[in-house]
Amino acid sequence: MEESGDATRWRFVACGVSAACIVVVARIAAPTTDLAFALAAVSAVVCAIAAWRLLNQVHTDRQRSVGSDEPYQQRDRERAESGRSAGAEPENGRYYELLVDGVRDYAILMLDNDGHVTSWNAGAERIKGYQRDEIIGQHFSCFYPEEERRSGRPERELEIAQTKGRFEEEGWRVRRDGSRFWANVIVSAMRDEAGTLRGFSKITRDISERKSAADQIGRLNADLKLQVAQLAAANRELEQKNRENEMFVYSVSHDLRSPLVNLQGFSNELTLVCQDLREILVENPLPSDVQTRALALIDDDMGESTQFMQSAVMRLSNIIDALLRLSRVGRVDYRRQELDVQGIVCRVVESLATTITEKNARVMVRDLPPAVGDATAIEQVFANLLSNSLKYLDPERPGVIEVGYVPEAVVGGEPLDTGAFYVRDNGLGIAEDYQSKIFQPFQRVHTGVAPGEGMGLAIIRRILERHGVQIWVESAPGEGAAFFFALPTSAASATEYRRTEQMSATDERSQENGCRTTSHCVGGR
Amino acid sequence: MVAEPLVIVLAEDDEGHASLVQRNLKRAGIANHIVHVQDGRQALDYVRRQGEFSARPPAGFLLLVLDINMPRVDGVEVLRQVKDDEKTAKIPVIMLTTTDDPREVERCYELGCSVYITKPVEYDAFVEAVRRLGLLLQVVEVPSENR
Repeated sequence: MEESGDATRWRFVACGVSAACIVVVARIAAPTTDLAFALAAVSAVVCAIAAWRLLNQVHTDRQRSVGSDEPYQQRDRERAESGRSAGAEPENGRYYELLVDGVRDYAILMLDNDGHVTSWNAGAERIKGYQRDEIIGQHFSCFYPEEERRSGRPERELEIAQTKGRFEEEGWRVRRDGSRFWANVIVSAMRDEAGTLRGFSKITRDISERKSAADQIGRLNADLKLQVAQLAAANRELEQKNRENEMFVYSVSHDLRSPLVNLQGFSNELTLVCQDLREILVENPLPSDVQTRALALIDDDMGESTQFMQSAVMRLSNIIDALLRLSRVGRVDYRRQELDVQGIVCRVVESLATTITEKNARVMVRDLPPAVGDATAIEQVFANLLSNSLKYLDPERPGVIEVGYVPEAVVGGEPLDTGAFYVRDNGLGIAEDYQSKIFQPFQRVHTGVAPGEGMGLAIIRRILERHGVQIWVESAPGEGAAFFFALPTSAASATEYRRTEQMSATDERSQENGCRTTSHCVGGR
Repeated sequence: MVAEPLVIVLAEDDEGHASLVQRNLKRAGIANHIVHVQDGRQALDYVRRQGEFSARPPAGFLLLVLDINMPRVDGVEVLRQVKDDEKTAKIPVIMLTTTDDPREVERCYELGCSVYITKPVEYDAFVEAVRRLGLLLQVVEVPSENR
């Protein structure tokens, strides 16, 4: 310990004075005996030593306070002085305390360097359930679940806050009653100007609701993903099954053809044999009753039999052909290409020119935007729809068939986000009960009106299905039918189409001659 | 009908079909010799004069009528092998089959068949094809087995 010479001297003086005083007092109190004097002298020495030590202690304390506590005393002095001059600081501090104390949505608390709670606000009480009195001084690890407490997590978090200045996390915390809540926690280290750690501030928010909502969303999302995956798998499976069915139908129909060829060929042979037999009977002399009976057998019995056989064979053959056509739709490879729909429809209309004229029908082709799909398949769709329309026209009125495109299609009152091509006629129409059935194989609405296997619409639906495109019908019996399908147009072509559509709205002529290159398109009459 | 005899080789595993083809050809007045073999293997053996047909004498011109679905070697394979071998490549081949799959038809034409006819057979068209191919054999320089 360093000590100035002055101070030492003063201590010696003080001790000497006190010792002298004691000797003087002793002399006055017991002037007669040497023993009393000796006792007084010993007391004086003891007092002097005690005084020395006392003074020494005081000095040491002063030295210490000068070395380390000086800045605080300084700061306190400055505060006191500035407070006196401004008169506001102590009030602000109080307001600040009130503010923190009154916050109810956040637990705001302070910890000392070791993690013991030193302050506690209303939010902390509300969220964690401890009263201020019972928690102050407790270690903050009591807010953690048992397993995390054991793994030393609370201490680790303080370490991180201490080294990095701040620690934030979301995790489980425990209330006083043992219940858990999902918390957002921020721990910040508090340091003085010299950088010495002075404890931690800790802000905790109960975000259980947000967490459970997020979990719920996560679960729903996961469920949704699972369902989507399951649907996709089911779809693939169905698609696979469908292909297998089509393969099966194909091979069965194909195998049926072979015996059918024999039935057809040999029933034909029988007819020819009957003709030969008839000639022999007629040309050779036979008893007339024998000849009559024989001719009756040949003409009536055998003739009728072979006729029924042949028509049955023909019918069977048509069914098999239709099945083969349907199954082939699923087997052919489609090429996705830009389609000149206008051109396709015009070709179809041209190929049907004879029928159109025969039926005395008029076919109008509106402006059609280019689309994307397989050219052959889409041509088949238009061809089937158009020949259906021609087949089922109402003989009572002139047939009018229209091929067009609506930019904003509506299915059953629900707007589709794409446009749709349509083929509309003013023919017999389809009763509502049948409208869902007509796309199934072998379903015929107007039997007796026209021949057919009831396979056309099934084939169309399958073709469009393979394009990922829906087909639907709008119809009223006696008024006609309109078939729509939402074949995608290419983005560029759709824009182009809107432009031409606006133009044609002002130019009525363009509506009547959708096929400008040929006059076939507007047939009949 | 031709100076050198034309032999029609009919490869068909269905007896009924084979009978119908032969009846219709005869009825149309085509009296050429018809050799009926049961499958593609036999057809190739006949054309190459090998196997069970190794001893057969030269027959003049050949016209092949092939079914597609046959056991052992099918009609398309016979067509391919016949057209692959330059000694037999010029033999006209008529495919006569129940298959009307456009891809199958296309494949056969690519391989070099002369005519593709679907069963049930339009015998008029078939007979016409046989006549035409027979005449063609006379006009075009096709090596006869006899030369």
